[in-house]
Amino acid sequence: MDEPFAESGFGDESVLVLELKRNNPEVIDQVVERYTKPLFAFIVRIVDNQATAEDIFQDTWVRVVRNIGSFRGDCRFSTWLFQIALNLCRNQMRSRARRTFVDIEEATYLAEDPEVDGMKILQAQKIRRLVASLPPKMREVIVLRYYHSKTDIEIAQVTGLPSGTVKSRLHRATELLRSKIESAELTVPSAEVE
Amino acid sequence: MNRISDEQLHKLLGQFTVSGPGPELVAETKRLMRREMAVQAAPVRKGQTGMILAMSAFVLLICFNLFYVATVGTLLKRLLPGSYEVYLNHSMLGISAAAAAMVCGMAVMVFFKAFQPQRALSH
Repeated sequence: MDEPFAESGFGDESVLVLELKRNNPEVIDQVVERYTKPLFAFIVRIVDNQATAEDIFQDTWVRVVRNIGSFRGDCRFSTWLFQIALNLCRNQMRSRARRTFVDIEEATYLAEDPEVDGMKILQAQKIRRLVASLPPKMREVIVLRYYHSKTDIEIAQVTGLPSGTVKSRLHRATELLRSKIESAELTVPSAEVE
Repeated sequence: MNRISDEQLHKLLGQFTVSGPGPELVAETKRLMRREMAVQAAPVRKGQTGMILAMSAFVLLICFNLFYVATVGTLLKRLLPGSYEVYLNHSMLGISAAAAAMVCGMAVMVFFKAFQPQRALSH
């Protein structure tokens, strides 16, 4: 599970935004390092394609620089960043038929990590397919909630949906995911007993 | 089968991890961002912009006058006695002044719109 964002507080974020607005190139390293991992993971999980995710990742950051003047601070910078990425993902998915991961590439990709054993790779692939099999609108809310620990309000801000719609969609998506997990016969980790 | 709890769902989905992007991609992204930032920070060629604005204002002024002459002016010239012609000619100046005032208003609006983001920085 990805860390929500290693932010020490909104104050730091606003300083980064201010420096971006001032076109200070020195802030680029800091801002990219800070948000790269969660942003890239988010895009990969939404588009389910490594190459497309890389293109969208680059495009998102270029758009951040181009449009930072229009960021009014109504929401967190990370939320705005995810908004841009999600819009690009939606455009991408609309414009071309979705491609799927080539399993062998995926396996090689995961196998580079010596701590990951074969069973875990298979399990991870099954879960990836499961998440990818959700309808795009449901996938968006599931990814934002379960991988990025976003609140209902933050999900509403990122997706541009009313808060009530987010709640109902999240409920329906979770139910669908549960039923898919049950029918896929995945090894469900046991809940911790307190 | 027991219902999968929210905690179990969290744990299960957590097994699908995604590695961060490669260092080459991150480096290339930073380079693109710097280039975009340089474009954003580049001073606007004021001479060219000023010329375009002046031409647009002039064209707008001419359009106003032609519209006035072709519609209201023509109508009044036919309806009013010949002694009023001098007033009609003067009214051309009036309509020019009104058009100039509108152009100035638009310029002021554009100025404040363009400088609003910079102003917001000071808050």
